Amino acid sequence: MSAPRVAFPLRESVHLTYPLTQRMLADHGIRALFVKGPVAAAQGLRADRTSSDVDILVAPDQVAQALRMFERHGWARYHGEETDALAIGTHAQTYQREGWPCTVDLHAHFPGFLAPAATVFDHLWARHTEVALAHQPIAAPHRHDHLALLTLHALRGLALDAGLPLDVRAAWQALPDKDLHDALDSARATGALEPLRATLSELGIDAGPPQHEHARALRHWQALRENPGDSGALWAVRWDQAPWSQRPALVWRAFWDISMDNTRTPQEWAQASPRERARGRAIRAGKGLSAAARQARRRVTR
Amino acid sequence: MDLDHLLILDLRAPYDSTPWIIDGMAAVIWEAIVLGRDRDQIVREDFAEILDPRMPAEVDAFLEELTRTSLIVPVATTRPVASAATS
Repeated sequence: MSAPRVAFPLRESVHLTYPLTQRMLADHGIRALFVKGPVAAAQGLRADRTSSDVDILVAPDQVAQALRMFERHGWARYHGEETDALAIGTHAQTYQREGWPCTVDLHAHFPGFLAPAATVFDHLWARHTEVALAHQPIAAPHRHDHLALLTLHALRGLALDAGLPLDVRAAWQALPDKDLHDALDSARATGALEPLRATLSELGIDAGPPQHEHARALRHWQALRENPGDSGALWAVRWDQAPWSQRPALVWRAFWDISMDNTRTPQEWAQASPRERARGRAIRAGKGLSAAARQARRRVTR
Repeated sequence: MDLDHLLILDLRAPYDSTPWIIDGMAAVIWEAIVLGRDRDQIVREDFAEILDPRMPAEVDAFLEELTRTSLIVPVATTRPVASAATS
């Protein structure tokens, strides 16, 4: 009786990636919480759908260590070795591994939690719990914090007038008063209350007194929500968030890192000829400049 | 646990294992190990209805393979080490 080593399906690769990466991170003393996907399903916050990736929120002061560790243990940057998603203000770096059909997103922070990233992580970590996946315990946010995170995630991709996914909506509405108070207190502590306020109000939930901290971060959040899918708005926020010293590098990467341009996959960009890459950069620069002009006009007309 | 097949992954450093897929008798044996059964219990109880005289040797061979790869360790009661995930 033998047990052959084989390629394996997406769903099972996702489930096995959780304990594998958790063990790797824990063995190196890196604090990390597993979010969305099967973890949320295990907490009854979404249906048990097949995910294509594993999302890991890493302690902000250990992100660089986590990235180095992934690369040392056979994981490659999905968008190419030379790309640096975190350097351009993206909240996660995506990794893939040969033979594994799923990807892993290492999150340095999570959009919508407007408090400083370290404050948010420490708060989530202090309340974290575990779920069982592939017969192993996996570190997960407290169910109420996870619900806030899933709601923020859903809002990022929704038009302002679009409704929440039904499972997220149902999870909020099913919270007993005591749990709702805990969820709201925790949202306040992580700066998620104002991003969630309008949605909670639609669900008939009073989020309590307004939170005036994190005004600049809230402005960025609202700019992205008002312009979903607008790369100009995204880059304008990244520009505003970046220290002056990092802005030249930001612009350089915005135009030069053609492998992150989503008109082709990173693999297709890797195979593209120098001429095709040059053309891609020219188109990207043109789009970027027109988006920048659009953003400037929006600011003037406000 | 779905016994059509199981995937077993060694989680230990250097974290570069690829999963094993097991099915049939192997999957039944793995599930029995997870439940804490030893070799004799597996032969006597889990495969009580299998009259093939080669069965105990096949169980031994698979347990030896798991031991060789350190997915289980030979202790008084055979148990899986905490370094394998199954899906």
